[in-house]
Amino acid sequence: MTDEVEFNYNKNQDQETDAVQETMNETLAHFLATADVNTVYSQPIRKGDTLIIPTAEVLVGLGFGSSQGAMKGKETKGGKWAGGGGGGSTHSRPVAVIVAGPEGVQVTPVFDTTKIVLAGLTALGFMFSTLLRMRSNK
Amino acid sequence: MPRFSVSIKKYSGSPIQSGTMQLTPVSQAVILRTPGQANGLVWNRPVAIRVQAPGEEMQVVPVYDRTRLAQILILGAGLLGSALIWFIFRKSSNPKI
Repeated sequence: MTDEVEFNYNKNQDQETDAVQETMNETLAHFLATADVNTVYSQPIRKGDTLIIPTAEVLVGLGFGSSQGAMKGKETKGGKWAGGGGGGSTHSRPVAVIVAGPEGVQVTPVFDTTKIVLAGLTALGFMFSTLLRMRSNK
Repeated sequence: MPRFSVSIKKYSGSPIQSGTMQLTPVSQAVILRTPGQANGLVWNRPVAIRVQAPGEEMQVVPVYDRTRLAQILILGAGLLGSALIWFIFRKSSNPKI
């Protein structure tokens, strides 16, 4: 009877491990699908003779891990353990808008003012800290 | 278990009809895979749009990321400015006799 219980337990463990592996494979497939061209070019918007295509940059990162092994304790001998975890992040930012009309194709850039101002403040901070350090060493 | 790998791939989308012109979007993806079961990073960005008008040669209109360009220029200027400050103060604190 005990053997039967243990057998079922192990079977469930294997099924769970397979499910974890399947979820990871599905997530990886979704992750690799972000490399496709359709993720950066939006669906075109038509307005009369003009066609507008918004574009964006996409950055996706993820990490998953799982492990399994045999239990060693007196009471748990014969059993298996399995565990896993992961996380990820997605970032998207508009880059430009493509406008196609009877006059031709134009690419209008999208400026992210916040990012530019932050870069300016970082550069100023860097120069100011260098100035302070050099003056204190004098 | 996959090894560490970096691949850069260009993808072309399906053509979009705009009047008599045919537009084909092109993107570039940097795929970074690190050792492990499912680890990695994908950076995908638009690079150009191919324009095909009837009876004309195919034109490639580049898509520039002006925000990224501005960020690089500003941070580069900051680094250059810091280097200049360091150089000027170093020279004035060690005058040649």
